[in-house]
Amino acid sequence: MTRRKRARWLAKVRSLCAAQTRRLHLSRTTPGILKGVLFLLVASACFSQTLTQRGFLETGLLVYPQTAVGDSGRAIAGAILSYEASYKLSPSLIFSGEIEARTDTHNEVERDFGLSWWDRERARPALAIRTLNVTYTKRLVTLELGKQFIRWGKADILNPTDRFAPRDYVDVVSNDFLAITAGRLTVGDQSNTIELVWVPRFTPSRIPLIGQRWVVLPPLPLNAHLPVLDAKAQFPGGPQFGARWNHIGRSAEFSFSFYQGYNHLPLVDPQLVSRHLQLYLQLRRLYPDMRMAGTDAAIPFRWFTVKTEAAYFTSSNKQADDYLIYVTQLERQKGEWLFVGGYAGQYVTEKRSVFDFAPDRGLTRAFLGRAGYTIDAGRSVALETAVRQNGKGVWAKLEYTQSFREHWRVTTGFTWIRGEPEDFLGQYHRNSFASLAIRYSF
Amino acid sequence: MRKTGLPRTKILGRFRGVLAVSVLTATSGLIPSLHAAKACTDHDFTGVFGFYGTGYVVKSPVTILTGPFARLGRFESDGNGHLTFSSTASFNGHLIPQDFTGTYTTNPDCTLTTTVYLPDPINLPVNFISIISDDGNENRDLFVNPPGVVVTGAARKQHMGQCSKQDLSGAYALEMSGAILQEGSAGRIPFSALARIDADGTGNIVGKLGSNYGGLPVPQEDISGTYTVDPNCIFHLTYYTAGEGHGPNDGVTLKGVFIDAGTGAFLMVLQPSTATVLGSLKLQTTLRSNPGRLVRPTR
Repeated sequence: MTRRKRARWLAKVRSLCAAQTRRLHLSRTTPGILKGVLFLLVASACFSQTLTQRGFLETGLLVYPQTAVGDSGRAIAGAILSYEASYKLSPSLIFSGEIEARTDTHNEVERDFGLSWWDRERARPALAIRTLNVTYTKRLVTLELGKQFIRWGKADILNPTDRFAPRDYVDVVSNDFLAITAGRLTVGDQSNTIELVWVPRFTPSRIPLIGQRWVVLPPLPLNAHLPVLDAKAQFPGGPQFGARWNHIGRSAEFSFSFYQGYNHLPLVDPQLVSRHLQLYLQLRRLYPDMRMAGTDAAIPFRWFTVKTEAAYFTSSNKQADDYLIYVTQLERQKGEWLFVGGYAGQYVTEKRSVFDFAPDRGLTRAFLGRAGYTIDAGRSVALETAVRQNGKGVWAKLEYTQSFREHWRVTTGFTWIRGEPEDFLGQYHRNSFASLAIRYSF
Repeated sequence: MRKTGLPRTKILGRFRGVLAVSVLTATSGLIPSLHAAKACTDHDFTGVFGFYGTGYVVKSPVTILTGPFARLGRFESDGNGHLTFSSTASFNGHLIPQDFTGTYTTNPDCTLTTTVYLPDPINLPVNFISIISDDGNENRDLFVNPPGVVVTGAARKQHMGQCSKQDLSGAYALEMSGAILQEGSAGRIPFSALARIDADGTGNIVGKLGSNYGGLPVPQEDISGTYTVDPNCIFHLTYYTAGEGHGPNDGVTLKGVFIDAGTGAFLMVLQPSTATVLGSLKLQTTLRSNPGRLVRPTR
């Protein structure tokens, strides 16, 4: 941006914000993304009559009763500051975005305060644009461009067709979705909807950090324990594409989906390498190409609703498996109670992988359940669980939430994990933890 | 410059000696005692040698020096019973440069008894027995006194004058073995490595290295590095594996001493200093990589 253009742009913003006395200073080195965000925020603030905004400050504490291999830390404190704004420029055009700042005591968050857009950092970014997008709606057509969340599927706990939803798996079982930069075109009425998604650049899931309790290393000969090197990930180039048709009928809702792109969960290529007469285990993350054909359905009955979802995955990568994942669950709402129970299965048609990080597949061949009870408007309690069918892994999470006054909310819980080291859930058997989070919303 | 052989007068002298022995045995029928015909003197142990020693110091006047031991350097024998050493020793991972002198006595059966006076921090006279072999080009050594040291060594004649980077050029086989401190392991673990390196004669090397750390083999890795050569035919070579940084704590630095007219060298790891690793360098094919170069030293 030239000096002249910048001056003109600032003048425009300032004129829009005549009622406000704050001055906006942008240097030449301010990143373009940041300029856009600031423009959005300032512009949103200037037109407060069409602006919706909210945010929160949350501090949290995780306490692990047991130490783990390579990580003696038992308490992790963290804080998140989030601000979200949406500006309706016209009835058909909406800008929205969310920016987030965070820190912690266990180096799960980057110490560098660079602004993150692509979420490709190894650790959680300290400052990130979580979403920033524009939505245009015209009759039956909705076009959404920018960094956004895209969710597919109908089941709970595990959604095999949810291919545009990478997650932050740094703490594996307490994961959160990551937005992707995409264009999404939705065409349809209330009964039939076609959704087309195009993603120009790949966003990976964030996996556990080396040297911390949630990382699991491949077994080495002679039971050796070696220092670990994190090699640069090989991120795939090229776009991803997906299409989904959803139908809401009189007796059922179902959809068919197709995805062509890359697995946001990595294969891990372990190698022994030497550096200055020291032996290291070097781990390189690879993201294989993936093609998915999936379907999901929800069929309401008198006593319960059946939800089912299945997807078949293939890859041309010689280290990636071909497999089918399916989920079937029953759901029942009774007063303030919600019960969900089901089974997730997996059938591998071509086994090729040696070592990978796949929590989606790790939750298969398991019975899944959720029970929730809303005590009153300010209090609720929930229990989620996954039990492997061979009994070698159990995960259960009990959580209690209570709101205070208008702005405060406290969430406390305990996550219990047990099992055998060779099981996906069981390998985290030393990672049971208690959690406490206090949130102030504004 | 490299010497291309022994002096003509010495060759002629040896020829005359062999001729005389042949005539004597042919006339008197004493063939079975031929192998003992030549009696060695101090003069048979003359020249500049590259050498190494390796073993274990079980007991030392300086406690922290107890442990794996290695030494590498060069010495000059004046042919009259006097030795002058220049070396670097690794005592239990502590690198100590040591220059010292010694004396030797040659026995008629071509064995030696040697006494050297080790400087700080040892400050002791120590004794070796040695055997001259390969027509005086090599000797093998065993530490015999004082008790508490298990060390053997070898020395080979350099056959070289002043050296430069050009003396390290061509394709070489590089071998290393010893013990290293490995993070994650209790105590030292055995280490060995084999590499093929190409030295360009101007201070750069590239190659492929295979290694084994306590039973865990590392497939061949690309290595690259640099080297310098001192006029006294000692050289220092530093290599880095592919993907490794080039900081002060990165890479492996070897000290080498040329032997056999530059067709080989003894090596010792200087960096990381906690390693007690010795090795050797051997020219693969002199003629192919350096057509005008000597293949083997003249004996």
